[in-house]
Amino acid sequence: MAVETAGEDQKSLSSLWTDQRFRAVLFQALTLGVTGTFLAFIIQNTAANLENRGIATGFGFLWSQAGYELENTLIEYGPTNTHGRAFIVGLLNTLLVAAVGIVIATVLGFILGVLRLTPNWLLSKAVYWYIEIVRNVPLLLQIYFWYAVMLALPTVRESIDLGFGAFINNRGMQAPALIFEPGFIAIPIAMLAAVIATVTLKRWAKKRQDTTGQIFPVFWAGTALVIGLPILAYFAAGMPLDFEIPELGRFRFVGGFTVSPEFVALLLALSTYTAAFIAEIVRAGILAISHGQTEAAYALGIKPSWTMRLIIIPQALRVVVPPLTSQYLNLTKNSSLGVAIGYPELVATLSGITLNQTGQAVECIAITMAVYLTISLLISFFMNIYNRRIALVER
Amino acid sequence: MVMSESQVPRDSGQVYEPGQHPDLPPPAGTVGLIGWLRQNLFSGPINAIATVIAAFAIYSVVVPIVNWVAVDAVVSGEDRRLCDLGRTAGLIGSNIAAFDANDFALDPEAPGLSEEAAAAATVSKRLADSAFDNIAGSLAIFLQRYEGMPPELIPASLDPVMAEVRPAELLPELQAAVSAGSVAAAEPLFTQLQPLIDWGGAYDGACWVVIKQRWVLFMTGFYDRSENWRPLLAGIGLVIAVAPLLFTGLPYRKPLLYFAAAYPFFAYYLLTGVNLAASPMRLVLAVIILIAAGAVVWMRDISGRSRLLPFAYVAPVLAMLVLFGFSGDRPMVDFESVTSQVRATAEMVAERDDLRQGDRILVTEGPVSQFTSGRLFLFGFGLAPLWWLACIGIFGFGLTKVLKHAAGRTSEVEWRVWAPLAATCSLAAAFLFFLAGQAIFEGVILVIESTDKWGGLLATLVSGIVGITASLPIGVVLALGRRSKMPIVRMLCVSFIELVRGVPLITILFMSSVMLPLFLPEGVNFDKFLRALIGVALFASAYMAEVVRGGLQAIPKGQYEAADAIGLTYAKSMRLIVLPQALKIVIPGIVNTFIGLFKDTTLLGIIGILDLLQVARSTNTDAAWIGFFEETYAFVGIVFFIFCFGMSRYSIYLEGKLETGHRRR
Repeated sequence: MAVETAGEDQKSLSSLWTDQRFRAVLFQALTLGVTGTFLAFIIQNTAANLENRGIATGFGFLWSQAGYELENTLIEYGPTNTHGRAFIVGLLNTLLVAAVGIVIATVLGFILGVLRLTPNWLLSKAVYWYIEIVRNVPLLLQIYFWYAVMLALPTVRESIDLGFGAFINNRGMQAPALIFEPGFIAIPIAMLAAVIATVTLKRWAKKRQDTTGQIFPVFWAGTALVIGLPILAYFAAGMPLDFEIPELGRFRFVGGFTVSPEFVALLLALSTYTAAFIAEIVRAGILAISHGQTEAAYALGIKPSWTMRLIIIPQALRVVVPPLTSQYLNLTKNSSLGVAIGYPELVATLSGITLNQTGQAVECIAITMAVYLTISLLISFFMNIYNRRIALVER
Repeated sequence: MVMSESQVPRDSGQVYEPGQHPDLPPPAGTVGLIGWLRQNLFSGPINAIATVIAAFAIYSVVVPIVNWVAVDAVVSGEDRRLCDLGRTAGLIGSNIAAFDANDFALDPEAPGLSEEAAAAATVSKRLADSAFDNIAGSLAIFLQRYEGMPPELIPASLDPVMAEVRPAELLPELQAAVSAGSVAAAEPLFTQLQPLIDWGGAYDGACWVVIKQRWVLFMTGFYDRSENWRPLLAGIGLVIAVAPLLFTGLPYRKPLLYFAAAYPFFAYYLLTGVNLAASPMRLVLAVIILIAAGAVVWMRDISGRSRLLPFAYVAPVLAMLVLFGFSGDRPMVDFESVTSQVRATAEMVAERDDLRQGDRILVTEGPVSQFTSGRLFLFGFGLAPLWWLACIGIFGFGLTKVLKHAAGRTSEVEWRVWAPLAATCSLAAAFLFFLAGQAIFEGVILVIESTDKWGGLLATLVSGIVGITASLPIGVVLALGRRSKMPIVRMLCVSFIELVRGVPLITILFMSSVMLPLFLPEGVNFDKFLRALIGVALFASAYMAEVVRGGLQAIPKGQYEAADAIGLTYAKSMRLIVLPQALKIVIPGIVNTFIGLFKDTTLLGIIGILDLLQVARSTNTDAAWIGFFEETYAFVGIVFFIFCFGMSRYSIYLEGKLETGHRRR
C-alpha cells in the first residue's frame, strides 16, 4: 500500500488494533478462553457435586439389574434384566412409533395437501380449518387428549368391533396376529422378484420408448407384478400365512396382537399433528411450480394425468423434500413426549426410571441425546441422498 | 367469427355496425351466487360428489360439536350436580338405543348357526343384556341424584317432565321387568321415559362449570388469591406494552413505547415482589454515572455530545441521589440489605410467638443470601441498575428536550433566564421521580410470590414471552457466528446449533432440571422456573439461528460488499444494511418459531411446572371433577389456538406491510 511507508517494526499498538486479522485472532482467543473457562468451571463443579452426593460415575450401571417392570416391550424384558436392556427396549419403542408415525403422517399429509388445493371450495376450506386447528394446538395436549379418549373407551367386555377381527377398548387395540407357517419364505421372495422384475421392465420400457417412441404402461404392470406375484406365491405355497383372530376371554382378549392404548394415543397424535404440517409443505411445493409448466405441458399435448406425474410432481418434490425431512426429524424427536403418558420409549426408560434409580443424570441424558442425534443424522443422511437424486441437475 | 342472427337481441331491432354492439350481460349461470356455486362447488360430477360428501362430513362433525359446546352445555351452578343429572338422563337414552341396536332374543347356542354367526350372536346378546340391565340402573342413579339436589339447583324445565313421567313410580316396574327378563313388559316403560331422556339431551353437553370453578387456578395457578390483582395488572400492562410494538399506526405510540421499555421491570417487580433496589448496585450505578459523565465531558468526538452535555453536568447530583437519597427505613448508606415482604414459614412461627403461618412480615437480608436461598432471580441483580439507568436516560433526554425547546424560542437575553430555569425544573422533576422510585421500590413492598406458586396461563405466558424475547437476539448472534469468517467462533456456533436441534426439547428440559444444579457450585440454588426458561430459550434460539441464517444467505453478496465499500464497520453493516433486510424476509419463519416455542412451553409441565395444560390435568385427576377431560382440554386448546392463530395471522399482516417489492416472486 502506498501509505505504508514505515517499516513493520514501527507498527504501534494502535495500528495493531486496527488490523482486522489481529482482532480476529484476539477475539477468537478470548471466545475460546471464556468457553474453556466456563466448561472447566462446570466440569469441576459437577465432579465435586457428584462426589459430595456419592453418585457413581461411568457407564457400569448399564450392566446392573434394572429391577423395574415395563409393559409392551418388543423384546423379552423383565425386572431382572439390566438397565442396558431397558434402554434397548426404549430405543426400539421410539423407533417403532417414529417409523409407523412417519408412514401414516406422510400418507395423510399428502392426501390433505392435495385436498387443500382442490378447486372445491367447501373441501378446501374444511381441510384448511382442520390443518389450522391441529397445527395451532400443542402436541402434548393432543397426546393427552387422545390418551384420555383411549381410556374413556368401553371396557373389554363391550369392545368396539372395528371389523377384520380387530377390536378397540380401553385396554388398547387388538388386531389379528400373523402366524407364519413353513413355506412363508416364498412370499417375500416373490415380492423381491416382482420388484426386480419391475425395475428391469422399467429399464426395458425406457429403452424401447427412446428407440421406437412406443410407451409401455410400466406403472400398472409394476403394480400388478408387486401385488400379484406375492398373492400367487401365497396360493402356490399352500397358503402358509394364518391369522390368529383375538377372542374375548373372561377378562381380556386371548390371542391376536395387542397394541397398548399409550401407543395408539401417541401414534394418533403424532401422525395427525405432523400430517397437518406435511399437508402445508405439499401445498407449498405444488404451488411453487409455476402454472406455466402446466400450460407448457398442455401445449406439448401431454395429457393432464401425465402432466401431473411427469412435470409437476418431480419438480414439486424438489421443493418438498428438505422441509419434509425436518418434519420427519420433528416427529422422531416429538415421540419423546410419550414419556408424558407412560409409553416406555427412550426418554421414559433411560432418562426416566433408570436416571431416577441410579442418579447418574449426566450419563443417562448424554446417552439419550447421543441416540437422538444419531437418529437425526441418519434420517438427514438418507433424505439427503434422496434429495440429491431428485435435485435439479444443472448443466 | 360472425355473430349469428339469433345472438342479437331481437326486441331492439336495431342494427349495429360490426364491433359496435354494446356488451351483452354475462350468461346467467356464471355470475352471482349461482355462478359462484357452480364454479366452486359443482363444476363437474366429481366435484359435485365431493361437495356432497364434504358437506355431510362437516355437518356430522360440526353439529355435534356446536351442540356440545353451546346448545347443550351447562354453565349454571357451582358444582357438577346439574351436569351429572343431565348426563344420567341422557345415559338412560343411550342405553335404550344400545338395547335397540342389539338383539336380545338371539340364542348363540341355537343349532345350525355357523361359528361366525354364533360369535356375532354372543356379542350382540351380551351388549343387549348389559344395556337392558343398565337402563334400570341409570334410572335409579338419576332418581338418587335428583333427590339429592337442593331445589334451587333444579332447572324449571325439569319439573313438568318429572310430573309427567313420574320416574319414581316407573322404577320398580322397570326393575321387575328387567329381573324377569321380560322385554314386552319393559318396552312400554321405555316410551314413557322419553320426555325425561329428551330433557337430559339438552343438558348433556359440555359442563363449563368446571372451568368456571377452576378459573383462578387456570389463570394463575397457586398464586396467592389475595394477590391476584398483581398478575391481572401485569396482564393489562402487557396489552398496553405490546400494542405499540405490534401496530405502528397506533395513536400515542411514542409514550406507549416508553411504557413498553419500562414494562419488563414493572412486570418483574409486580409478579415476583422481589425488591429491585438492591443496594450494592447503587454504588456500582453511581460510579457508572460518574464515568459516563466524565466520558461525555472529556471525549470530544462522541456522537450526540451536545445533547448529552447538560445531562453530564447534573450527573454528580444524580450520583449523590442514587447513593444516599433513598434509604427508606434503613441506614443512610447500606450496601448490604434488601427489604422484602415474605409470608411467615413454619420455622419463623416457631421462633416468634406473635406470628401465625402465612402472615406477611418484612425481612431484611443481604442479596447474596436471597440469591442462595433461591428467592431472588439471577437477573434480579441486574434489573435494579437497569431500572435506574433507564429512568435517568429518560430524564437526560427530557432535559435536553426542554433546553433545546427553550433555545429555539428565545433570544440570547431570555436564554440566560431560561437555561437555569429549565435545569432547575428538570432536577426537581428528577428528584420527584426518584422519590416515586423510592415509593415504588421501598414504600410499597409487595409480598414475595415464589415462582413455585406460579401456574396456569400466567406460567404459560411468562415462559412464552421470556422465551420469545430471549430467543430472537440469541438466535441472531448465533446465526452471525455461524456465518462468521473466524473458524473457532463458527465451530462453536455450529456445534451448539446442531446439538440442540438434533435432540428433543424434553431432554434439554431434563438437563436443565436435573443437570444444571450439578453444574453450579455447592449451595447455589437456582430457581426451578428460571432453569426451565433458560432451557426453552436456548432450544428456541438454535431454531431461530437457522431461520435467521436462511435470511442472511438470501441477501445478495453485493449488499455486504457495498456496506464494506462505504466503510461501515462490521457491526454497522449488519445493523444498518444486512439484518433489516434479512429479518424482513424471514418473518414467517421467525413467527413459526415463536408459535412452536409457545406450544412447546406445555412441556414445562413434564418437569413439574404447573402450566395451563397441567392445571387441566390436575383437574381431570381431582376426585371432584373426574370425567370432564373434554371440557378442560377443549378450554386449554382454545386458549392456545387463539394465541397461536393470532400470531400466524399477525405475521401475514406484517409480511404484507413490510413488502417493499425487493423479493423475487
